[in-house]
Amino acid sequence: MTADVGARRVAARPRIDLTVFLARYGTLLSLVALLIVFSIARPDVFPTVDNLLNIMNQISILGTMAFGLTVCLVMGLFDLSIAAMATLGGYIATFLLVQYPDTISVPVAVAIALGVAAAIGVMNGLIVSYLGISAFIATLATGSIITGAVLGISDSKTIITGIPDAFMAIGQGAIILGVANPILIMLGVGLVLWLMLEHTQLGRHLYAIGGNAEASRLSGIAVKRYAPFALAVCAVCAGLGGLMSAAVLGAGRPQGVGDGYLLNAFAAVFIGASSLRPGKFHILGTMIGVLLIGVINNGLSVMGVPTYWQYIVQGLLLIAALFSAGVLTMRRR
Amino acid sequence: MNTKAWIAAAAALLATTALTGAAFAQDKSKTPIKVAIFSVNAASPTIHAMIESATAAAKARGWTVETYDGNGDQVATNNQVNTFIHRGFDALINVASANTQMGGVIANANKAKIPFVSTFSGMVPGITVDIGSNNVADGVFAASEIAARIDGEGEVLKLNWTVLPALAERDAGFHAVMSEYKKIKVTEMELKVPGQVDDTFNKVTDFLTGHKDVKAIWMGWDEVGVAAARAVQQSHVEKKPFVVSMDGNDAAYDLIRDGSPLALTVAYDVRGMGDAAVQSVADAVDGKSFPERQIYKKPCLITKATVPAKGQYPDFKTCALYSADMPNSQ
Amino acid sequence: MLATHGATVGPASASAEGSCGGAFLEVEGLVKVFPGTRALDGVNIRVGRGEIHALLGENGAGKSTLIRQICGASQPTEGRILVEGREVSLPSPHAAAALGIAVVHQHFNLVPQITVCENLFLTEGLPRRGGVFVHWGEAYRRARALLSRVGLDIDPRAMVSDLRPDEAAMVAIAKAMGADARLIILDEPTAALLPGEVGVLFGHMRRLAAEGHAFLYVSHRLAEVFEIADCVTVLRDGRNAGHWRRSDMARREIINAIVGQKSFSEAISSAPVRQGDVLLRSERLGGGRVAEMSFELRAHEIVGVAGLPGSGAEEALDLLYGRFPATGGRLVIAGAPVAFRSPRDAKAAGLALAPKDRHAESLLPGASVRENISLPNLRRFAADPVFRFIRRGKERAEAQSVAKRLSVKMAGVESPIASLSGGNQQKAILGRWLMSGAKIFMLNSPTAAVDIGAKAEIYDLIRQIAHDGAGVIFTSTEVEEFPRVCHRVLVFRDGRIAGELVGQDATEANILNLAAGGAE
Repeated sequence: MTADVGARRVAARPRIDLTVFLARYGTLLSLVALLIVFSIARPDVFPTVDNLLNIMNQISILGTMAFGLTVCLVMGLFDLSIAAMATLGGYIATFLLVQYPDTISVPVAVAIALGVAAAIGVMNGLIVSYLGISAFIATLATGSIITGAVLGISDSKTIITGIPDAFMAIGQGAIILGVANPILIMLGVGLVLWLMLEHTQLGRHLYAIGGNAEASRLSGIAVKRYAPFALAVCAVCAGLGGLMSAAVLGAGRPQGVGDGYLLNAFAAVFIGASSLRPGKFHILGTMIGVLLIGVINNGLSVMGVPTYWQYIVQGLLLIAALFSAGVLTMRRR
Repeated sequence: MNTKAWIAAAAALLATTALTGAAFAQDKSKTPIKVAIFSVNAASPTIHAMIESATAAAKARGWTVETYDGNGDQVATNNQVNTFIHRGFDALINVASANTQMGGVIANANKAKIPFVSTFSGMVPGITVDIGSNNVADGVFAASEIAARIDGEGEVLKLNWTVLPALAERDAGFHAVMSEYKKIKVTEMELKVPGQVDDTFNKVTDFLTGHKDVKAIWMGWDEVGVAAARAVQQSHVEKKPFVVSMDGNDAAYDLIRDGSPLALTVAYDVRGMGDAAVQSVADAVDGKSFPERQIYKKPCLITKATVPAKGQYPDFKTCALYSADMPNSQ
Repeated sequence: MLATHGATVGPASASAEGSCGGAFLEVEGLVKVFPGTRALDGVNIRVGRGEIHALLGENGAGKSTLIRQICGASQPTEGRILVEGREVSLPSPHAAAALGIAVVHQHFNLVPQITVCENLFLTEGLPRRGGVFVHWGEAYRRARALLSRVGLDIDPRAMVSDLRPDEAAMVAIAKAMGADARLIILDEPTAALLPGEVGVLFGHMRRLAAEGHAFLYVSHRLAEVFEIADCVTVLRDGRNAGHWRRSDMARREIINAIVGQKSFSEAISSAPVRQGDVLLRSERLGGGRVAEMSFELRAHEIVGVAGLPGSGAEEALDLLYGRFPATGGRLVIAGAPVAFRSPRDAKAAGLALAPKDRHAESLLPGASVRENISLPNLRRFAADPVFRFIRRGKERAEAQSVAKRLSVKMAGVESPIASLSGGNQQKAILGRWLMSGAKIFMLNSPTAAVDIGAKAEIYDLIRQIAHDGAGVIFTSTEVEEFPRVCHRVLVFRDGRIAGELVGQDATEANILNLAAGGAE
């Protein structure tokens, strides 16, 4: 009987199943379709190298944050503090540079900003692992604390003068081949996290814990140590995103930097989890999700479509993506 | 302290007490009354500045001040203000929380016979007075400056968030001007809030990719004006458009001073408004009546020529509102 | 109507199919056919008024199926059900309830996070004023009345989660009795109870029985059955296997009726192929439900750890593997004393655990066969000591070789583990530990939810593991597996090893007898 079942399954494999195909490649196909539609609609503007680099530049902050978020969602942890963390990252760096222009160099300021983000991420993880509070609630709480702390330190004032050019170059320069630095940062972060998740023991353990924490524990994995790590990675990426935003805009804003990114980052990661490897969070999928959001926003605004459509189209897409992924997961059972 | 100093201090204390007692008979505002200063969202820099100046002015008068920040929650704000009324506060100062959404609170204040003074909150029946700016006129000023500078023709981009009533009024001013200039081609976009700063940056960048000849950009308020200026700075277009906006915050002043694409802002005297709110409360508790429920304070045009030195606050008494009044006017 | 199907092999009373006095419920020649099996094959049972009637049998003997027919959850294929002498049809649980038949399930079907009162009215809804607002006064009054009927003196406003297990059991009984139950079916009500609490529950049952309520009581715990039951009916393979009254109950006979005459061609030889070194020695080790245990495990040996649920047998494996801390005693692995703070330590010492619940505790559900096999072994594929990049090719090759050795049936090691049958999933999990080179295998019910063919393969695999030099500690919820798998069996009772059965003595009957409190 077992042999029969096995044989039937083997035989069923090679058949191309349209539903499975759509669930796996649907998001990728819709990305391609959107690129084609926008290119036909505005051939002079949309499909230019300038504009494509522009799209990449525009998604670089979202991408960096979404990559970090992917790491904690792999473990099943929701990090809601990324919005506040982005504000924190940008504000700390500019604050240090403007307050101590003679003693603190740009690399040091960046290191301190990301270090603080990492420390808070580790704290999030310790709360989750050792106090047993769900990440959803713990990060909601720390996010609120960070927001308050930054508002208090800044007296609600935006830092705009005295930010050194070397810092703004992080957001406005282009070191390699005229490709804007934020794009390079996003791709660099994506590459490192992709290698980590897909090709190292650490990444495999993160997936294992996300898949079945008890099985992982019984397999000798020190499960509790991973939440601080994953949440720290996510916090650093969020802080880096905010830092890039500050460098692009040349402003250290004390509030609201990450608010626009929070939901989009989640949307991108979940769209990503419906692509290529349905039901799994992964960096490549997140990249597709981020690109999809970036292309929709850029394409619609290049076509002069009113802003409210951007919200509507993105929402519809998210539902479609998750539905198709859900269909596949159900069929697999 | 020696004995003489003690005696002097005691005498001074006595004198103060006597004076206060005497004042009580005439002006209630000279007594230490209790004032509540609140906003639905005090974290916004402009609102924060108004609260600070109002708080300082009230404390300078010897009043007891309690502040409240609704963190964006209008219902919580209303509940808190009702509590203030219940606790016997002598006056209420609403800093930029839409009065249209506080009808019940205003009615309670009227019942309790305490003044309800607001800044930038819109005029509704029942309030003592609202101190603000004529947003429609401000939109006109900014738009007229654009029309004049581009000689009445060319492409103009306008970004705004018309959900907020004050911003919609500015929008009306913009349209009033532009309807007269048939040769100006206007493109309008609505911003995403929250995320407005990054959205501005992206939308301006996108637009400039397809429209190399944009001459000017009209932004609804300085927070996004600053972002638009940065986007223009970093764009690859040859003839960079200039940006105008409204509010007048430190960040905008800094960019104007640096000669960035942000060329002009219609600045509000936010500190003055805080002071004026406190003055209005004093007048109201002393029994003065207000012939008008809406008081406008004069804004100023801040350009590279008129921008205050770094860290300085513009002098709204002497600053220019029309280009001809400006130093080295073109 | 049909007469009895097949002969009953009950030793004491081949003729009497369960009757003690005036019958409330009579079941005659009940047959239930499922595709491929006759789950009930002509069962008779008679439950008298005010009688506590125990229903015994192995897993799969037909107890649950019989209960489902009696309480209206399912309809029999053939046969009659009579209530107070009149034939009835029970199309739904509601119909059964209307006739006074109520069921209390093993886990009591209570919602822990709400109050006793809310639980009591969960099915029928709380009493209301004008059809809208809950009439709490009336609700509490009626709840108190229901509770006092079962002799329970607790506040109906108490949360169920705050109750003692025996109190929860009585609340469940009160809820089941609701309107006016005459027959209360209790499905393993004592599984979650401590010995003292069992006594309290039995006290209540006796009192209610004296008032005329009948009980049909399903349990694995023979000692309890002897304590409480007026009559015993044993089922085996869907048929009656015997019936006893209180006066003539005999432990050995009942156990033999439950077990039947089984023969296993592949029953294991009495001793391991050869005596290996001592791999593990437990010296009065205790923790959790395990009060203390002392034994040795040698290489090549398969030691069974048997016992009724709650006896500490299953927990012994978890304790050895460090899933919860030891509170006393000492554990010696390969001659050196160890103290495991976590499964991580146990794994490092060469232990492996295949836990009972495959889906909750073993499998990575969304992952491939390869990822499931290599889960505890990733370190061996690391290409460098710092980043620990995984050499995917080596990982795949080793996973393939393990899967092949265990003849896991699959499309390939990259296919999702979810596409495999239960038996093949279990083999992959054993493969996980084979790859790790563990020296001590602890297996809890490795054949649960596995079809018959795969079961035999897994037995062979366990023998192979021992043959290759590892030690195996085995436990199972199916008592019949111990004689097939183990060289010797340690039988647990009340958290201690009550006795050891070696080789031919390790029969199912002997294990059950020892587990239930009989002499060695």
